[in-house]
Amino acid sequence: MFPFQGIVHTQTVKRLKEMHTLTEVETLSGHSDRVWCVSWSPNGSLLASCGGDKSIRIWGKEGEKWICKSILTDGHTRTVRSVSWSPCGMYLAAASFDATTSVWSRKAGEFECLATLEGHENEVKSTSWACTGNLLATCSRDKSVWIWEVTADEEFECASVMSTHTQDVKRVKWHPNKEILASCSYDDTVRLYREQADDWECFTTLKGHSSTVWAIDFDKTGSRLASCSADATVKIWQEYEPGNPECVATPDNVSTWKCVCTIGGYHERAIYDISWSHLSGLLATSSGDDSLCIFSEIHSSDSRNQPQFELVARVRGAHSQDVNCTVWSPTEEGLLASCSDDGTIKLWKLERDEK
Amino acid sequence: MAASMDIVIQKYFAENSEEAAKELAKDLNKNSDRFLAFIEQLESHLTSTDNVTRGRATQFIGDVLELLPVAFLTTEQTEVVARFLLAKLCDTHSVQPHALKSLAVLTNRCKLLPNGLPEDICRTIFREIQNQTLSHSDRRSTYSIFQNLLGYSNKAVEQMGGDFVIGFIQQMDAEKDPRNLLICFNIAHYVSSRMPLGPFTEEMFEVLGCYFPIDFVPSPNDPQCISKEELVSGLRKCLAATADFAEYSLPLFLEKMTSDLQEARKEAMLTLIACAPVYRGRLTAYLGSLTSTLKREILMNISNDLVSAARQCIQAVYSAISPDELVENSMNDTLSASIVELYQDSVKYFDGSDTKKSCLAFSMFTSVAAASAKAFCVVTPLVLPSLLSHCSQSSQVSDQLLYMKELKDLVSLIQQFNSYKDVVQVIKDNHNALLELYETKLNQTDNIDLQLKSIEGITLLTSPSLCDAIDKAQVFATTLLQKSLHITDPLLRKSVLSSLHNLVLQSPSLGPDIVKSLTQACDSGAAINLVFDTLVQVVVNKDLFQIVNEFLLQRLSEVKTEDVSDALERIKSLARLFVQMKSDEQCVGLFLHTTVLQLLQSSVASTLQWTDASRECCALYMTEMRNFFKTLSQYLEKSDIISMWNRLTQLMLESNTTNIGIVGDFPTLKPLQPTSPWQHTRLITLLEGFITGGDIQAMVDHRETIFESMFILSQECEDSFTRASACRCLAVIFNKAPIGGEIHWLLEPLLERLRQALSPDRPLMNRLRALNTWLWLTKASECRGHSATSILSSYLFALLDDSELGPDVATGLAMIVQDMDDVFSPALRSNVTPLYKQRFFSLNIRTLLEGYERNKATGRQEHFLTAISSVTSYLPLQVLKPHLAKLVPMLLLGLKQDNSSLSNTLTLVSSAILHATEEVTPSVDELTNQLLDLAHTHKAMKVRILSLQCLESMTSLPVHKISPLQTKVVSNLARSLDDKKRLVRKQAVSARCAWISLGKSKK
Amino acid sequence: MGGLDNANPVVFQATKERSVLPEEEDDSIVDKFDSREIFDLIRVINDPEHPLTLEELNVVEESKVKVDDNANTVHIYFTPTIPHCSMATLIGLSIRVKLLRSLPSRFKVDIEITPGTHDSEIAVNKQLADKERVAAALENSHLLDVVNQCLS
Repeated sequence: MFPFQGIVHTQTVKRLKEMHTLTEVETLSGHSDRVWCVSWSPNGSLLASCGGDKSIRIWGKEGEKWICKSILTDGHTRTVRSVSWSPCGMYLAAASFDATTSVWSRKAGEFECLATLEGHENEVKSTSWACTGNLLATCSRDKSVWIWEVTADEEFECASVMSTHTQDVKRVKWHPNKEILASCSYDDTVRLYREQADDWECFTTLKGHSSTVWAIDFDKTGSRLASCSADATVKIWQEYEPGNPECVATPDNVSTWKCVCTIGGYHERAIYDISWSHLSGLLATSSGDDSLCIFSEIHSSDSRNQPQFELVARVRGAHSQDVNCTVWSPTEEGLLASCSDDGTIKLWKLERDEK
Repeated sequence: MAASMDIVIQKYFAENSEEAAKELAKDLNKNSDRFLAFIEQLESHLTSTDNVTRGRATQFIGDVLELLPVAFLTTEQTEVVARFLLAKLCDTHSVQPHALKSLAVLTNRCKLLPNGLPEDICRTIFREIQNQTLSHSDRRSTYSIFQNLLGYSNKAVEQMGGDFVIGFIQQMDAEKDPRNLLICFNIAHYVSSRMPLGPFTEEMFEVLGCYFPIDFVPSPNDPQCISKEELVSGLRKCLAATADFAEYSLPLFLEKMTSDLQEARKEAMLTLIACAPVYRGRLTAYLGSLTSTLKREILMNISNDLVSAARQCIQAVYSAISPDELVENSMNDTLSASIVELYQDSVKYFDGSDTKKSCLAFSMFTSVAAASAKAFCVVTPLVLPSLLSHCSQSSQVSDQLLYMKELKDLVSLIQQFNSYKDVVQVIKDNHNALLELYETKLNQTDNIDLQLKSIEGITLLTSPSLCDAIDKAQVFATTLLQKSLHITDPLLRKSVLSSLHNLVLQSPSLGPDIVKSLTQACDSGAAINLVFDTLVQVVVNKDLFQIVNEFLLQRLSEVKTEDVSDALERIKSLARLFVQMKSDEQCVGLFLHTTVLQLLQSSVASTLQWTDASRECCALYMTEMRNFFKTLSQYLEKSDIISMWNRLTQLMLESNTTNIGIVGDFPTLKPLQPTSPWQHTRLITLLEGFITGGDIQAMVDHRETIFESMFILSQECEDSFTRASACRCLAVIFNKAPIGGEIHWLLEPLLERLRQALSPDRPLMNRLRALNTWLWLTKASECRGHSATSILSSYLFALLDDSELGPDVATGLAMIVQDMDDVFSPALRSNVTPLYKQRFFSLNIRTLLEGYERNKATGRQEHFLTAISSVTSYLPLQVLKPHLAKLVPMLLLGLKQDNSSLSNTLTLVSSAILHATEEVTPSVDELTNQLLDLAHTHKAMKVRILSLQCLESMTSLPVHKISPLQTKVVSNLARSLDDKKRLVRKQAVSARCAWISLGKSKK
Repeated sequence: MGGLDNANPVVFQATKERSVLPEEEDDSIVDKFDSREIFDLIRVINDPEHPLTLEELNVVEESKVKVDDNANTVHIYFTPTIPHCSMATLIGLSIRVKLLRSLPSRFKVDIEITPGTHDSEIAVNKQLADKERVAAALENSHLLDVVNQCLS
């Protein structure tokens, strides 16, 4: 059914690998409980993090050191699960187990709570801003994905509620340049949504993982999506638009997404996060086995239909406990942030090994 | 005279009636003849047309009578006054109460009433008084009159028969006042139990039964109020007064026993328990309903209270209908038929599907069986088989235990009924099944409770009435014997051995065989400590004593110097054997002449055998010998002590070995010479043991010489075992020596010699020996509160300043506050003043604290800190409490010091946290940091564990004080979860969980 | 709440306290985590429904506890008393919380239902393995009270 699917093992790659080394640059301590999520501001100058201590921390660089610039503590009464910056970098949205999403605005370096979005029945797990900055998506254990419209006077109105997932929705992520939304879930699927005739609909469901899909990320073009799962694999999904040269069927004139590659055998436990660098094209993954992995695509004859990825760097014991999140800097190539149950955030630098 | 009486009478009416009555009574008391004159004087008032005056005048008579002695009036005078008062009863209703009151006094004061008067009083009251229209205090007068008459003129009242009964019933009917009711119940009880109620039985019952069950709440404002319990028991007595009530009360009880009110059910059952022995045969008509109601109550299992009441009640009912004599082989009587019916109704509960219910049903039948021997004989064959099968077949241990308890309760009844042949036979019929069950339980489970229950069962089966044949006793003995060789659990072992002991006591002929098989077990590899233990326990007479004594003495004459474990067990067991038979004169004599002598010979002979390689074994051997001689002298008669003392001193001082039965030449021994080989000097420990155990007043000859020699040994002997023994011996003699005796004169020069030995220019070794002796003497002195105490202890405190000896003094001080029951205790006839340790602490803590302050600069403050830790760690907290405010900071400092007393300090900190919250709380931050640090980093696991224990105890401090620390402590404790030692981790888990759930447990 | 799922459970006898070996008293020897140590932590957990421990109900057994001190892994199978036991998740959660509090964080702990002993085995296993759900559950004070009762 999926002719392009296959598992790539490093042994099958015959050419010499270009190895990289991931070096720890800095450790940021401050959270008094596990850190769930870390997020770069669009210009790469700030980091936002959040976790089990119910707080959000904003980190910035002073000289060579990253220091904690603000701590936002009064937004939530339970764990803050994730944070995400708006494309303009002026707003920060935070999802919390207290069933609300808070939106903070940055004015003169100070953060103030602009709105608290209520509606989900229980824990909100993730938020994501669309590329235009006019839409915000949230998802929750209540199985629903909500899309909020940002009005001109900084108000948020619910535009749509989509309840296609059959379980807990773990993550939402917008397409880098279209108004297409992806979500992934405890029901082992990834779903894609688009606006159609003034309403939002799920137009495709990507099945393939055998356990919870924890995270998803688009590549720079948005025609590929990477997903990672508790089944300890990464999958790469390729978009086939109507009229594609491979003649993949596109019923109802809607793009078809197919799994073209599965990367397995590197992580021993659930993979909690994946980040696809828009600068280098490298994939970073973090896992419950305490490690970080960096994968690079091998130039091959049919990279669209049969892409191949190889492991170019790995740090075992990157943290002393589960690594919950990893994310590439949007502005500085090779700079990576990660955070963990051990309460720390780490910054890493990826460098090509000298031959 | 008459005039003055008149004045008093005027006074009575005008103003102070009480005063007037007193005055008059005082006057009349001198001359009883004047009483009638008084009545005459009163006449104008008594016949006044004013009702009030008439009434008061009538009462005046009573008021005066009350103040006069009992039997003051003659019979004639009584008659006159009484008749007069009776006439007043017929007066108008406002005078009646006064007449009643005076009559009540009269009937109380005048015990001998003329013939016919009691009856007239009763009849007049019945005729004239509408009791329930009167006030409650006036009603009380009426009842008092009846009570008085029943007390002093009961014959006359009883002759009235039904007239009195119905009269009284009418007077008390509808009484509401609790005090009055209590009197009524007394009267009703008397009447119902002593007089035939005849046609009025039902009326009497009605007038009483309407109160059942008593519903009464005492008024909170009346401290002397009648309690509900008094009323309940008053009414209960009435209902149980006669069997004639049965036909009315049993339906009432039955109705209440099925009520929704638990109180009513309980009261009905308790009342029935009281009534059953009186109602007896009358119960049969209601037997079926009663037993089925009680069965339901038991099985409902609402509360222990109700179940227990129902069980007692069913027992009382069956007991009441049981024939007085056991009628053999008749199952057709009411009792048997009813029990069988009850069994058939209950048999469904015995299927085991609901353990709780079956056990309740079994317990009910145990109560039935307890009712009488006859009931037991009917019940047991019915229920025992299924009870036995549950005991053996239940799959769960907890269920087995429940069934075993029921079985034991049933079988225990044998003790109550063992004089009945039939009862004994019933148990005997099941003897084998029971024994088999108990043996299986003993052998097949390792559950201690089940085994204990089995031993209890076996013990019951071995009671004399059941175990009358020797072959049966033998079977039990074998079982118990087998168990005794394996069981190590102390509780279980005790129960097995005491059972075995009783069995042998009961059938002494079993003894030799048991001993024989035990001695054989010894050879076939059973644990000898268990064999010896059992052996000693079965010794119940002189014959067995001899056999066991001889057996234990075997192999003691030649000591295997490389392995003394066998010898140690034998010596230990001989001491126990002695204690076991110490009250048997013949045995003691035998023991002294054979055993003790042989042990002495062995110890002396062994001096030739010990080598430097067997020094340790020798120490163990001699210590056991010391304990033997300690036990010996503890229980010997004075005369025996004297002769043994002489024997021992002759051996020590004169090397007299023939005296202890060593034949031929033996090398000269000089145990008291410090230069003798250690094998010789160690013999003094026998003497030390003997002195420690016994009465020193019987050890007179050479006592001072021994004292001096022990001192020399303690300073000069090279063998540390000998020195330690000598120190103890010195201390014991000093502690026990009679006041004013010579020893006390020896003390001062001896201390002077010690002071010299302690002076800084002497070699350290000598100083340390002297210090040790000084510490022992101080301990002995503190123990008895001797006058030299302060000299001894203050010198020790001064030595804390000594840079060389300071640390040893500091740790040595612990000895003074430690318990040493092995050396000083009242059981050993030592002089032990109560609370001496506390006194030592209170007197000296200030010195120590000051010493610490003073030495802060010198670096010797550590000695004081250690001393404080040493002393405080052995004292109860309430003694330390007044000083805790000062001590807690010291303890915190102590935590910083890494020395041997750190663990003691931690123990103390832990109890200070628990018991001296207020003193600890201010230092809580610093304490937490230090404890967390110690828990994580200290190299000794003991210290890490204790620190974690302290941290755990901290969770008992006020939550608001410690909750700010919670996050920090919980996260820091995570480090200890990965400690390399498992025992530390275990404590870390416990401490961390306690901190995590801080404040939650109090919800 | 309705009646008990299993009103009359079979009761097993509790293991005796672990006896302390001489090497455990020796400061210089490292005691590795072993299955008995983990078992001792969880056997005393109370059942949510009965006044009994998980050990007495045979929900946990020492033979179903695997630990590898070097690889930092712990694996536990637990067996609900009956296949439709509605308390299975709560029991699993109690075990997880107990170990979260008691084990060094280096251990990766997997808790699963003994294969074939529960009707919703897969669903329960997946839920217990989801750390996010566990974290959220433990912020639910009512649920936490119930768990704490099991652990007290």
